[in-house]
Amino acid sequence: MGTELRKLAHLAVIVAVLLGAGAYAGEDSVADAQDAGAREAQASSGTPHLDFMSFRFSTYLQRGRGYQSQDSIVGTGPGSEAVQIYQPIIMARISQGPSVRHTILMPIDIVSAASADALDAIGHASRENEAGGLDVTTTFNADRPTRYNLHYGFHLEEPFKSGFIGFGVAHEFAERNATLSSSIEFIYDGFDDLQYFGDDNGWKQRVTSNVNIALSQLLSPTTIMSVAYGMTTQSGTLETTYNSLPVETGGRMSERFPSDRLRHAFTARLAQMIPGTRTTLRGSYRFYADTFGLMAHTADVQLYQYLAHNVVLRGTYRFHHQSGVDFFRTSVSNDFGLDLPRTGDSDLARFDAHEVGGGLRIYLGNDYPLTDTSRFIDAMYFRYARSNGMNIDIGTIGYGQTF
Amino acid sequence: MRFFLGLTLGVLLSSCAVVPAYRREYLADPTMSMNDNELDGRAMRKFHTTREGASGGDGLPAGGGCGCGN
Repeated sequence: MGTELRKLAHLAVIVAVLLGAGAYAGEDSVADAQDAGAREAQASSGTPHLDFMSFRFSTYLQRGRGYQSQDSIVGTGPGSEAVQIYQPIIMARISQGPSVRHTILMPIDIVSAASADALDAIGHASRENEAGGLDVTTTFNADRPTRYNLHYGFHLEEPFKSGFIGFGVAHEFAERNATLSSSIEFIYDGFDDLQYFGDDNGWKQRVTSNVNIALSQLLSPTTIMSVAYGMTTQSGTLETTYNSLPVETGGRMSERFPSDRLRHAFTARLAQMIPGTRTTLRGSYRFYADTFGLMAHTADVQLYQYLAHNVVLRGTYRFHHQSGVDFFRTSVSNDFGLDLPRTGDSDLARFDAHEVGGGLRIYLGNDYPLTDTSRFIDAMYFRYARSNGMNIDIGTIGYGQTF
Repeated sequence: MRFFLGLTLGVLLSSCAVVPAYRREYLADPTMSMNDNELDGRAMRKFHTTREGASGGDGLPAGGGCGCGN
């Protein structure tokens, strides 16, 4: 893992140098701002320019118990899912000429007391785990009604490697009142087949393919709506190989999933501004069903209230209900068939989840009107609580800088 | 299913109502963005995907890309 992190660090340095070059180009463009001709020449030259950069640091403090974990178990009871995660993410938007845009995300997860998901479940060699990756979206024809984008990157996480690539197209029509978009994406995951008792059965993999189609529509000068459908297929080793569940007579048995999964999701979103009070209401509903027998309904509402021309108060509530997979159980009998699907993972159980949060964002510049690349600083807090005993406190601070 | 078909049809039919460019001041406000800025959206999407077996699929794949088995 150390080697992988060194590779990631080298990549981070390369990207930082590239971003630094972009920032330098940005300073040049400010210096040349009085010369519109020079600026236009630079824009059309294809020289990379860092337009916007933001940084977010989040902490997740999780408490809960699940039958897939063997940390701090008593008898055949559930194990601890306690975990703390520190997650810095950097995002940069870079333009390259008038019609090419890059959005680069570099997330890093530092997981402490990873009893639930990491290798601490089978050994105590490490009580910390790190994960990182790179996520790039390059948009072509960004200034035209028909845009194309390429989505690519990778993710590294002990004992796991992943790479993805996707392609999308979006077309605006009806005088740019409506946008129809579609995309396709492929993900390859490879990982060591570590068992709950410490054996390594070699390299395993799974492949994920996804197709999306979405339509967004302006309904009035203050209303936007969108609908989207996504279909995802997965095949290969889908279970978390070191997860296990209790055997009634004592001991444990590895979890096992079917080797194929087909997943459908339909989402509708609405955003409404009330100009008189400078209030924005946003809501969404999502329906989900898959071949594991899991069905879910998710709804969320968000309220944004301008307290001043540059200060926005945000409140949010989200509700999620899922039915649980057909093969969820809290234990298995001693003669349970080894080839039968089974899991005790609390994430796949039947539960309701409530999430409540709020925060404040302050825009620091003199931008008018404000845009999603205006300079800002914000802080938010969320509380996520599941009916099967998991509670998570989330704190996050963010900063965005225009160049 | 009828509900979703009706919703989709309603959105398609409403596309007959055109909002001219000069009346889109409120629609351009950052609070009206249908996608949270990339940082907020990614962090919360990953948070939900790794803790809910039924998350994802709305714009990006449901599952894959993480070691969580969801």
